[in-house]
Amino acid sequence: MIQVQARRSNLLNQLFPSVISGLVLGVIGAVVINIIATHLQLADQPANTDAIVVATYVGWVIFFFVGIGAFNGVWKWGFARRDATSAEELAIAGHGQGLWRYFRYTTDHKVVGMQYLATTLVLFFLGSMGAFMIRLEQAVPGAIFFTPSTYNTIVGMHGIMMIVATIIMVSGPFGNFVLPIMIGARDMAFPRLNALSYWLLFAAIPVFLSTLFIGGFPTGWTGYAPLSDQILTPGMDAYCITIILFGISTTVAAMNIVTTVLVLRTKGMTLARLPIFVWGVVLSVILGLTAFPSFIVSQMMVLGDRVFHTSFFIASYGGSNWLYEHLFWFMGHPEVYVVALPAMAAAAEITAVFSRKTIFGRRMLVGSLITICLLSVLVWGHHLYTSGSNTALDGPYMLDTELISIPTGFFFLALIGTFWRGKIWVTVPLLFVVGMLVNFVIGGITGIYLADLPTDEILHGGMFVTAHFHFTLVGSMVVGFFAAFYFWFPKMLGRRLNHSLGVLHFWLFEIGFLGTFIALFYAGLQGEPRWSANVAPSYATANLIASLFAIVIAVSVFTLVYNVVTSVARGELASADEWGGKTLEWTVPTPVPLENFAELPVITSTPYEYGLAEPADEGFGLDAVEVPAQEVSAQPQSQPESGA
Amino acid sequence: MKQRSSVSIIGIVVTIILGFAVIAGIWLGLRSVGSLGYETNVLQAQKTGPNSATLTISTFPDSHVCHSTEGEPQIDWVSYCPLTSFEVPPNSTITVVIQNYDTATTLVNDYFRQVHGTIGGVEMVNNKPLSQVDVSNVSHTFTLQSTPESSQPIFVSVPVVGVPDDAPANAVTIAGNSYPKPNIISFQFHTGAPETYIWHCYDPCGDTLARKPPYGFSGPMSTTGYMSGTLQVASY
Amino acid sequence: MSEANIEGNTGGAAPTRKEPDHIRRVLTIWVVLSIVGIVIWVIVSPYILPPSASDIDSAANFTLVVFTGLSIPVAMFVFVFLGYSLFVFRVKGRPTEDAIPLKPRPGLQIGWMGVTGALCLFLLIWGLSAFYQQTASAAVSPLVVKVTGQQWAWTFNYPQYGASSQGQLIELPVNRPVEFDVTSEDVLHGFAIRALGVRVDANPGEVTTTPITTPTQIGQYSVACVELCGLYHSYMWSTVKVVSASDFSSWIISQGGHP
Repeated sequence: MIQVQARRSNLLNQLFPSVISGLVLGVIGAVVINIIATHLQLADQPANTDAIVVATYVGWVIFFFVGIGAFNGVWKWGFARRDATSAEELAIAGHGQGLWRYFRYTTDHKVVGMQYLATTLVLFFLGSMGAFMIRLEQAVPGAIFFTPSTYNTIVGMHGIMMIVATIIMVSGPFGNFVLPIMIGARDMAFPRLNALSYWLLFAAIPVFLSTLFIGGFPTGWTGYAPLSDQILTPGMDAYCITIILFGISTTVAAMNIVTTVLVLRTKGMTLARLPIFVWGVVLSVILGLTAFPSFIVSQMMVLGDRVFHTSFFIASYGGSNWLYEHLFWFMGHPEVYVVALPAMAAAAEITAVFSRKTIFGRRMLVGSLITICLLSVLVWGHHLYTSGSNTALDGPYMLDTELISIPTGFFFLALIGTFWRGKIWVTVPLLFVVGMLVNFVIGGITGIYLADLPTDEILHGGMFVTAHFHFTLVGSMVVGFFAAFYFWFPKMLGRRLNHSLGVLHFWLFEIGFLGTFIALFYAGLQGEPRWSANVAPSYATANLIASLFAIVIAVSVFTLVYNVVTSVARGELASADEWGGKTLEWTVPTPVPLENFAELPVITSTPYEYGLAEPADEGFGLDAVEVPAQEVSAQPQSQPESGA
Repeated sequence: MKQRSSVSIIGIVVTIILGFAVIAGIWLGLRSVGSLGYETNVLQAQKTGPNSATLTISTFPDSHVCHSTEGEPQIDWVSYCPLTSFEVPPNSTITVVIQNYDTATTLVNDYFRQVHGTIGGVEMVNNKPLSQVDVSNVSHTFTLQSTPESSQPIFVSVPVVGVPDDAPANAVTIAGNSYPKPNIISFQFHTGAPETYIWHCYDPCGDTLARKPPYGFSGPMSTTGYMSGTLQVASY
Repeated sequence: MSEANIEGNTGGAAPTRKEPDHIRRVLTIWVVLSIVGIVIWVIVSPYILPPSASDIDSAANFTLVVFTGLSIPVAMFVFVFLGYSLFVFRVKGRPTEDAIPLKPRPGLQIGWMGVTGALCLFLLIWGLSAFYQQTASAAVSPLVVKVTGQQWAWTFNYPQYGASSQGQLIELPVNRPVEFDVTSEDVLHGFAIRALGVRVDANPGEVTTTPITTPTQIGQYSVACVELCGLYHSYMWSTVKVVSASDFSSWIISQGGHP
C-alpha cells in the first residue's frame, strides 16, 4: 500500500516539473487563452484572427514555462528572499536525476549543451526534408508535387529551420558543453538563464510548425513586408512569434556566454591564452547581441501591422517597405557571420590538433576574426543594391563588403599554414575541415560577384545568390559543424562514431553538395529567379541535375543518422583524451563529472604548444593547484566570484 | 569481422529506405492539409461541339455557397464558384459564362478595365458587348495568363462588371443564401495544344474592411479555391 | 613559409639534406594548374554565359569572365596547398610525435595583406567605374517604359507614345537607350531582364529606375520577377522583343499609340 503510494508520488515527481508537464500545461493555456480571445472579439466586425492567434501563442509560451518549472525559482527564492542552498543548486543542475535531467529545466551547462545538440540535429533533419521537397518540386517544370502556396511555405520553413539551426549549431551544443570546460570554469555565469535560453528555443518550435495547419506563410525566410502584412492566413503570425522567441533566446544565451568568458576564466587563463574556439564563440555572440534586436523589432512591427493595423510598412498609409528591408538586413548580414565565426574557430582548433602543430599566426587569426566581426556590421546595404533605396550609399557598401575578404584571407593563411609541414592525421573531423575550406573558397569568391555592383545587377534575386549562400552557410559552416560534431562527440557522449561511416558521410555529402549547387550556379547565371515553384523550361536541365545530386545529399544525411544512432546505442567507448588535443576539455574524464574539475587548473601557456623541445608532460603546462579551504564538491562554483 | 560489416551494410540500406519513406510520408501529410491550398476536384467545361465547350462559373460576395464548411475568416471571403480548377478541351473555342453576384471595388490598375485577348476583343455583359468598363464599376477580373515561356502563350483578361450597390439584396436565393440579381458576363477565347495556365482576379476585392493595397489583395486573392486557380487544357 | 621562415625550436639546425623543397614544388603545381584553369575558363565561358543583348549586359558578362579568371589562381592556391599537405605530410594513424611549429614572418603577413588588398582594390575600382559608366554617361533622352508590377503580372506603358501593352509581350527598338520606371501596386516585386542586364525592385508608393540600357541584338527575351511576391511569383513573366525601329513604330501604332 505504502509502496504503491510511494511509486505513484515518485512518478509524479518525475513528470512534474518536466517537459511533459510543460507541454500539457502549455496546450491547456493556449486553448484557454484562445477561447477567451475569441469571445472578446467585437460582434459587428470580422474577427481579428491574427489577434486570436498571437494571443494563443503567448498563452502557450507562458503556460509552458509555468509547467516546466521555470518560475519555481521565483517562488522558492525570489519571494522568500533567500539564495538557493547548494543542495538545491545541485538538484536543479540535474544531480541524481539520471536521464530525466535532459527533459527538465536543468541548469548544468553539459545538459543544456546536449539538449541544444539534439535540437540542432532534429532541426537539420527537418530542414533537410524540406530541402528535399524543394528539390523534388524543382526537378521538373510544372507544379507536380505541391501547389505554389505549399511550395512557398516549404521554402520559408526550410529557410527558417536551417537559419535557426545554423545560428545555434556550434555555439549551442559546443559553446555550452565545451566552452566552460575550455576556460576552466565549473558552469556558465548564469546557469538558470542558460536553461531559459534553451527552453525558449524549444517552445518556439511547435509555434513554428503550427503554421502548416493555419495556412502557411508566403514570404520565404526573409519575411519581407508588405507581403507579410497581407492578411492571407494567420500562418505569418507563427513566423513572427517564432522569431521573437528565438531572438530572446539567443540574446539571453549571448549575454551568458560573454559574461562567462569575461568573468569565469580560471587562474592563468589570460585573454592571450584563450583558445581560438572561445574567441570565435564570444565574437559571434557579441555580433548577435548587436544584430538580433533589429530582427525582433522588425517582427514586432509586422505584428503591429497585422494585429493592430498600424502601417509601418504599408506605403499607401505612409509607411515604407525599405524600412523593413534595412531592419532585416541589418540583422541578416551580421547573422551569417554569427554562423560563420564559431565554425571557423572550431575548424582552426581541429586543424591544430590533427596537424600536431601550433596554429600558424594565432594572433593574426584572432585579429582577423575581430576584424570580420567589426566590418560585418557595416555591410548590410549590399542586399539592397537593386532595391532602389539610397543608391548613393552603394559605393561605400561595396567598399566595406570587399574589405571583409581581407581578414577572411588571413583565416585561410592561418589554416593553410597550420596544415603545412604538419604531421597530419586524417580523421573524419579533419576531412570535414578540408571540405569546409574548399567550399568556403568557392562560396567566398561567388560572394565577390554579388558584392560588386555591375555583376549584382544581373545576379540579384536569382539562383546564383541561392547557390552562393548555400556554399557558404552549408558547404562551409554546416560542414564545419560536422567537423566539430565528430570531434567533440566522443567527449560529449562517451562513444566513438564509426570511422568508415564518417568517411562515407563526408564523401557522399561533398559530392552531392558540389553537384547540386554548381548546377544551381549555372542556372543562376542563365537568369533563373529564386523561389521558383514553377521552373521555366530553359532551366530544366540544370535543376534536374541539381535534384539528382540532392538525392546523394539525402543519402549522406541518412548515413549520419545511422552512424549516430548505432554509436550511441552500442558504439565503442571513447577515451578521455580521444584525439590528443591540448585544450582543457581533454583533461577531464569522460563522462564529464557534474562540476567538471576536481580542482580548478592553473594555466601557464596556450593550448597550442605542440612540438617544443622539452618533453611535454600530461596536460602540458597545467599545474593543478589546490583551491583553498572551501568544500569543492558541495558547491557548484568555488571561485571567489559566484555565479547567479 | 565480415558478419559485423554485412550487418552494418543492411543497417545503412534499411536506414536509407526508411529515410525516403519519411520523405514520402511528409509529402503525403502536406498534401492532406487542406489549408495549404489543395483543390482535389476539377470543373470540366461542358462540350458543346467537336471544337467548342462552355464553362459556367459564378462569383459571390461571400463563401456560404461554395465553402460552407469553413469558419472565420474564410467564410466571409469573396469567391469564385463552384471550383477554381478548370479543364477545357484543346484546339477549341471556349465560352466562359460568369454570373456575378458581387458589388464593385475600384481597380488600382487601369489596364484591367479593358478586355484583352478575347475573340472579337469584347465581353458580353447582360447581352451587351463591351470592350472596356469604368474602373469603379469592376467587381473582379478573370485574367488568364501563361506559365513562363510556355509554348502556347495566352493572355485573356475581362473585367467582371459589378452589381450596383443599391440593388435589392435578396432577389435570388442560392443554397439558402440571398443575393442580388446577377450580371451575366460571357466571353470566348481559343485554346491550342495541351498546356497548363493560371488565372486569378486583379481587382482588389480581398479585404473585408476595404483598406487600401496591399490589404485589398490579401485573403482570397492569393488563395486557391477563392480568387486564384488553374486552367488545364487537356483532352477528355 | 620557406625554410627561412621557421622560427621554431629546431635550434638553428639546418633541415636534413634529403628533404625536397616543398615550397618550390607546391608553387610550381599552383602556377601550372592556374594557367590550365584560366585557359579552360576562357575557352568555356562563352558557352556557359547566356548571350547578352545590351551594352550593360555585355559589360556585366565580361566582368564575370574577368573576375572568374582572377579567382582561379586564388582558389587553386587554397586547393593546391591543402591537397599537397594532405598527400605529402600525412601520417598513417595517430602521430607519435609533434610537428615543428611554424610562425609567420611579418614579411609574409604584410605581403599577404598587400596582395589581397591589391586584389580587393582592383575589384573595387572595376566595380565603381562600371557603376559610374552606367550612371554618369547615360543617354540624354532614352525611351521611357513605365512598368507596373502587381500580384502577378507586369503591365507596361509607353508614355512618350501613349501606348500600353497588349498581352504579356512588349517590344523595344534596337540600338536605342531605354529606361524602365518601375512601381508596384501592392507588394514588393523585382523587375529583371537578364538579357538586357537590368533589374530593380518594384516598390509600392515609389518609382525606381533601372540603369539606362541599350539593346544591341534583335531577339526575344524574358522579363522575370525576382522578389518573392506570393502565390504565383514564379508565373510572373513577360516577353520582351527587341526589333528594328520600323517594326517598333508599327507595333506602337497597333497598341493604340501615336508614333
